[in-house]
Amino acid sequence: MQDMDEMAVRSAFRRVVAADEPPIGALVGEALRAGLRLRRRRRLQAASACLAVVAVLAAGVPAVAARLDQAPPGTMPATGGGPGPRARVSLPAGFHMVPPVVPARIPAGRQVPVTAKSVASLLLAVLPADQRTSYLAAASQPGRSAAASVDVDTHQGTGSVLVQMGPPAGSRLQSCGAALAGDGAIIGCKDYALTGGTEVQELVSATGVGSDNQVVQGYSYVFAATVRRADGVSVMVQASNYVPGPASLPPLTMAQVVHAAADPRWSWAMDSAFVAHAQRVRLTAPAPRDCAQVQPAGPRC
Amino acid sequence: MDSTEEFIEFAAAVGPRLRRTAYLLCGDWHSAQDLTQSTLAKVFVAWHRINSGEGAYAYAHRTLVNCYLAGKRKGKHTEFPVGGVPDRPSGPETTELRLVMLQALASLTPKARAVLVLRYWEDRSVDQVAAMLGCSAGNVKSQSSRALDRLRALLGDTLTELRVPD
Repeated sequence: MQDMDEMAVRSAFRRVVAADEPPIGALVGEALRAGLRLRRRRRLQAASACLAVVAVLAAGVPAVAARLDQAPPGTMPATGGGPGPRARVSLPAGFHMVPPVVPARIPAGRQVPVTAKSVASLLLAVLPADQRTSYLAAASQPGRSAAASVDVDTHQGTGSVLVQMGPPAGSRLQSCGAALAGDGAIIGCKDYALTGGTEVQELVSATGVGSDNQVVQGYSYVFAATVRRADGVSVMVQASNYVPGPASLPPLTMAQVVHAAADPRWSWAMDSAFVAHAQRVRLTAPAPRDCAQVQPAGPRC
Repeated sequence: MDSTEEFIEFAAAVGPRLRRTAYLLCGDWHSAQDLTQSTLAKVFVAWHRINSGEGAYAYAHRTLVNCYLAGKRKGKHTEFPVGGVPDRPSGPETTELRLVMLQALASLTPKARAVLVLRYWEDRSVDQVAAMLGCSAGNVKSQSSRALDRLRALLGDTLTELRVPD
């Protein structure tokens, strides 16, 4: 009986699948585009998590002379850190570190605890006006961590923008000297203090991307700015480009990244009306994952 | 040929087969297309560390099933149990059979459905299915037996008629 049923199910499956099968269309092309986007996002998350780990480990390490000042104009040490000589990669064309920004006043009004959607909504709010966004994701553990990411398409480039808020008692910022000495991918760094005790650090990293024969075909840049305010809130915003090519740049300039990170609304408590309005935002991608989940051991979703 | 070209060639070769399996799991071609696309995207991300050929297909297949089950766990899709199939056809005509069979499959749990598809569409052994789903061989056997009982109860005469080989 069981064997007969198995035979019947096999027969049914064959007939069901054979009926009305539509053309496969652009499945492969769409899958490739989705794969590139997914790979870029995972690298971005890995880079973000690793930058955070580096910052924690390097806290308290004595400052080393900033290599940015020693390098010839327009060139920086690139990937492949270690004792041997490093390859050199130019900073992206038109790139420049930006002058310090002075945060505006924190908006008045009743403050309520931050939510994942309010973090996502604020990320959209601090982006420049001429952008198209997709794949919005956010996660929040009030008082501990909050993050949001979104794919952004601007006239400057296409890529992802990520914001992470750190704990109130976050560690000190890593010095530029330590950052440049410790991570071969970092090709530019600048840190400075603003009035009121706010510390700002701008980082540029570049990772060569190529095919199997190790020929670098383009660079994946990350423009990152970390703003650590006197109240202990640490905000890191980074923008990174997709599908690296010779002329590919992140969707935001460093000035826009710094401006986004310095927005005074980043806080564990936000204006109640803003948080209420943010609940209407629709998250369209899975929440950003932490470092442990970035490199899977096997097939998974 | 670089790795992206290899992936494109692989995806073009296995895409239709993966999509048919996805169709039996999901029950409609749109969801099957989405599931296959997200599966291939994940395979692309892991392409540098998986072997080509059958190894890559096995990886893709396992990813497909994992994605399907993960989607069900997250409640992305809604299922509704049915007490019976209301419009049972008089004979196994293809269109009616498709509707009846898909409705019957929809009444199974996602895991039972995956077991049936892997065992009787993909012709995987009990041990292979167990490894793919991360459960014991005994669990696969019992899931398969219960699922067949369920189909027998829902399909009745239709299943009997299908026992004649094609």
